[in-house]
Amino acid sequence: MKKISLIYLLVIFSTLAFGQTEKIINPADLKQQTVITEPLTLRKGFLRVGLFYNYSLVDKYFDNSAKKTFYPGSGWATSNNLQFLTQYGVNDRLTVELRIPYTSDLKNVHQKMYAPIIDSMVSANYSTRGRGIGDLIVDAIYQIIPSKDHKLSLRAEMDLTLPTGRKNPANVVNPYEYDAPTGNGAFVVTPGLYARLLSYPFSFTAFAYYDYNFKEHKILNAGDLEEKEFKYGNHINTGGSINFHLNEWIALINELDYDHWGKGEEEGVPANDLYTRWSFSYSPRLIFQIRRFRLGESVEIPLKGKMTGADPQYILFVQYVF
Amino acid sequence: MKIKLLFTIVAFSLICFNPAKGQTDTTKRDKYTLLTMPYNKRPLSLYKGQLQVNAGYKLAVRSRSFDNNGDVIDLKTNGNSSVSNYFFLDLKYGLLDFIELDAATNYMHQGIRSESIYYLNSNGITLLNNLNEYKGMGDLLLSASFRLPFDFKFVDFKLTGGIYIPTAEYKTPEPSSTISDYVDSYNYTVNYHFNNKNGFGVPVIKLSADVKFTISKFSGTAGFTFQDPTKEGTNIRWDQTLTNQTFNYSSSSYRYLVDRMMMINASVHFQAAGWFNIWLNGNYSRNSEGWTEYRGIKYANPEKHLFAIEPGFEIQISPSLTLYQVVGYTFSGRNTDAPFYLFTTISYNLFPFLK
Repeated sequence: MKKISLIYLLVIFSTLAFGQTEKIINPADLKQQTVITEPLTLRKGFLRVGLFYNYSLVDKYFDNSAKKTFYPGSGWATSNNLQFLTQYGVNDRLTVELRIPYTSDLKNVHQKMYAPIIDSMVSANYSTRGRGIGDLIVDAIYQIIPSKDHKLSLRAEMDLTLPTGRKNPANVVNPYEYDAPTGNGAFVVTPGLYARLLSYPFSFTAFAYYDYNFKEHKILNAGDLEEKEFKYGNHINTGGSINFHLNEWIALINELDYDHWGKGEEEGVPANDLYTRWSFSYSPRLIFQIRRFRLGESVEIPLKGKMTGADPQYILFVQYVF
Repeated sequence: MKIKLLFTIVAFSLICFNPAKGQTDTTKRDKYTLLTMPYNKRPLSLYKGQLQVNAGYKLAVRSRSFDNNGDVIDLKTNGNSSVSNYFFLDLKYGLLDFIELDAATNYMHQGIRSESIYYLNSNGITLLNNLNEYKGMGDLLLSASFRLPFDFKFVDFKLTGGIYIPTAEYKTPEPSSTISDYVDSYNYTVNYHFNNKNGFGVPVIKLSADVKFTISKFSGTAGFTFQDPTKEGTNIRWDQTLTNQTFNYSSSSYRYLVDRMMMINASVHFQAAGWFNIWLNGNYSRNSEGWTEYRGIKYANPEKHLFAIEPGFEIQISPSLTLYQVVGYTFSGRNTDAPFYLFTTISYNLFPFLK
């Protein structure tokens, strides 16, 4: 009886230890990592698809003296941009990416002209629409300092923008009424570096990208009969972010960006309407990781700038890892 | 001995299997439980000792409005679409389980352009641009709410009374119009820029009643709100003359009465998970009885009606933090703007005096 009792007690006690199991990370868990904890590239064989929606409008801008002011004329413009993203992990350090944008832009101009000398009045409403596939972007991302064994990781990127969007105005009625281009009409090469320091539940990032725009030809103004050579000014984007988990599945990203655009050229000479511009902006992002789904929303708030828009941009996105 | 051994075995068995008993509902109303209480189990006011800070931002895109007949005016093709940026700060405290105190204010910024007009004469073209800017802090709303003095199970009812204290700098400042692109006295651009402030300028009382029903994961709410000014107000109207590219301004005072506002709203909520609540709200508002004085004569303000639908959600991010997001679409109305808006609010909750 004593032996049976002792064995029984040992069995009972042993049940207490069952709870002390180590959490096993399986491949499904790896696909559920958040933007803070995931590696800087996809793991080998992982496929991520995503849809990004971007909404912006034109109401205020930073003028030449960096002062925020309303656009003076009675115009109105909105931009709706949808971007389909596909990423594939070639190996644990190399990811390739394809981004396909669809653009829907609208610009309205309303004016009235009174001519008392001929006793007449003209009211004019012009709409410029730009709808269609934009410029595709292919991208290769490589981890120089891998995330696997380091708190500090670094990746290099090389983007290539292909001028697949319509580059010239179409269905031109007059200089204010036509189908706007949906692409820039030129190849762009963008090398970049992105570094991250992970200290759970925080992460800190720093990045720098440089857009080199190639020379191309297109119709620069609606109504022009001939294509002209142009080159957009090169663009630098640099910044950093402080990110942290609000809970296990919601991350808050706080990003600061500085952008600088050089002066563009038309037919080899600096163009008056392609300004040197810069902007400084803050983007808070909330990202929800629900298993393999990732939902996010972001607002890009321009803080300061010169000859750039001063209205916030809204970004919503959804991603899924296979 | 056998009895002692048997007793020991039974006692240890009970100790070891005791954790299974933990999987029952706790009725203890600790701080954590109260802070994470889902919407369908929450009363209409805060718990005793609960402090809540709400900070919100509303982006409203004003691209349509309704005329006197309720017909839609497309402002995009009229040249006066605009964007409104509205910030909101609200501080609430649960004095008792059925009494809540509230202080709220706001800040808004909006610029409304009118159509650009060209005047063509024999010597050149003059262009007129017109901008009405609204910018500034709103009044301070102080209110107190009283709800039914027993635990919320299925039905709750709340009465609120408050007053807008005219703390805002409401008086219309001087315009800041400019001349640009000046070539000669016939060829130039006039940029009219009229500045306006936020706030009623007089005390305005606010009364409201709300009722809430909960059945399982579904909840329904309905409310009625009434706002009325306590007296007439006085403000400044500016006139301007242009001489040699310089604007000269002169002001005159006028009287006005803030509109009386009545609003009813109803919403259906679904508690999809303990941390996630979605809803559909509908509200109808009517502004009337107000007037504005022009040259000594009182002119009635146009009566405004507006019906809007607002789907939204609430996400409990942590025990202290909750995120609310509402999208608003205006369906019908009269004499008022019909903006599309996105309202995001972060709510921070705590019990500062509870261990």
